[in-house]
Amino acid sequence: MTRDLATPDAFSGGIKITLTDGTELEHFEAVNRGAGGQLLPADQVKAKFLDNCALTIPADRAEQLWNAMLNLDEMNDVAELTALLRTESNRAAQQPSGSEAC
Amino acid sequence: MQVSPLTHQTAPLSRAIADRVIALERDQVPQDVWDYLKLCLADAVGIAFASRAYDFAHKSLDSLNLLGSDGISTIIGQSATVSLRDAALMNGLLIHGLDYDDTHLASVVHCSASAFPAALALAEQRGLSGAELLLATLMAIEVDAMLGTQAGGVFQQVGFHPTGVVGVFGATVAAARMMGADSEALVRAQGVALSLSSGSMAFLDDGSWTKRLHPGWAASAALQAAALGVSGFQGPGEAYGGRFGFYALYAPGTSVETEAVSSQLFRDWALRTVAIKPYPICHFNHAPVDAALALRSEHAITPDVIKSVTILLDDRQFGVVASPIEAKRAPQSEYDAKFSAPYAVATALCKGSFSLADLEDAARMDPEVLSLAQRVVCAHDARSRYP
Repeated sequence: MTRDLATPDAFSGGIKITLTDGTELEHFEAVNRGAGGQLLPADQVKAKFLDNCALTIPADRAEQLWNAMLNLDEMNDVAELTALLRTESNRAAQQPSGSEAC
Repeated sequence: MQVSPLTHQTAPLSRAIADRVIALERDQVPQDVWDYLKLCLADAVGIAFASRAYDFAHKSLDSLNLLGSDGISTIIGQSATVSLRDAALMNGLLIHGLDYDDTHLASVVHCSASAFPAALALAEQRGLSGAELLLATLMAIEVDAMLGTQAGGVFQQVGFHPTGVVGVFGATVAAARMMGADSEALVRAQGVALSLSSGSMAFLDDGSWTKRLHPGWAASAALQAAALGVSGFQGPGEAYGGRFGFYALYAPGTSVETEAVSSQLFRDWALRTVAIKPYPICHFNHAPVDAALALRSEHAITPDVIKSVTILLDDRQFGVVASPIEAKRAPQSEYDAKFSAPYAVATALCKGSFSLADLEDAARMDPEVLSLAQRVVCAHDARSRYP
């Protein structure tokens, strides 16, 4: 396998900032968060999950879904899950707006 | 069997996969893999709900009305049910549609996006347990990761989207096993899947939507391939090797050693190297964004005190996220924004985060972000682990 064809297990990257007063700051991450060795922990996955669900379904339903997914191995029939997955998304209230960015 | 001079095959890989798939049991799966799998699938479900906020989802769902789709299968985010294969198609599309779903980095395959929808549709139809759904999904992910890794990036060079062309195989074997396939049926199903494997990279040229479709299509095709195989329909006995096999056609020049490859299957768990995305943008941009957020909070930096920013990457990544630099500084679409390192870093420095909302039109026209993006350049950094 040649160097060009090899595929990575993580993506490195960083930035260097020069401030108006001339100060130089640098930070480099060898492994991107989420990649091998730095798997995203459950609390960060849950935060992402709730953010995503918030675009189209109510928060209490999102919590129920999260719990269902994390207890999937205890579920005797996935009908319990699909009943929750059938939660009607709200197409009207969903267009994300820039105001959520911060 | 006549073998392509560039594609060496020691023994049929279809058979080796079939035998290992049949032998896999829940108790062979390490607990950390099992637990992480649940996180990956929860992540996938959350993204599917988010996707329903976007035009591509509405248009995709509208397309079902043209064809008609009666059935009892669930599409995430709606009470109306559809046919089995359409549910798999749409759920795959919703999961991958924002390019925010998990990725097996070594193969650049978004495995969950085809594996989960296919397994979910069948599990629902058959009233299976959650554990059976999890095991089937894991099976598909592991097969996809193994198959994708063997191509070492050649799929993309040829013009194929790895997630599309690989995804059909894992979902096929998982679906076939859920249907009660024996080894022969699994071999037939993989042979059929070979003829259904698809996904062009042409979307790269104009930011069009087909990439979003590929894993859902793979999931739907996999259900078809599995059903045909289980029903006795004859597919080629070897899907992967041979002169017209998967690697010869889709990744010419690569070789696969059946023993070496298949002996790792369900032993070296690829799921442990599947990355859940913290940001809804290209993986190349994640480390620079994290670095930007680290410096921003450490030094309380505001955009007005920034003279210039240099993003440090491997120069072979520039074609995807850094050049042409003028265009990358002012992305013209949501999709362009995902593949712009200057925009990602400028947004992170201005706002202290990067979420789905930052891909929207309003965010992309934010004067503060655009102004800072004009002061961003990219440079090669030898510390990069890019291989």
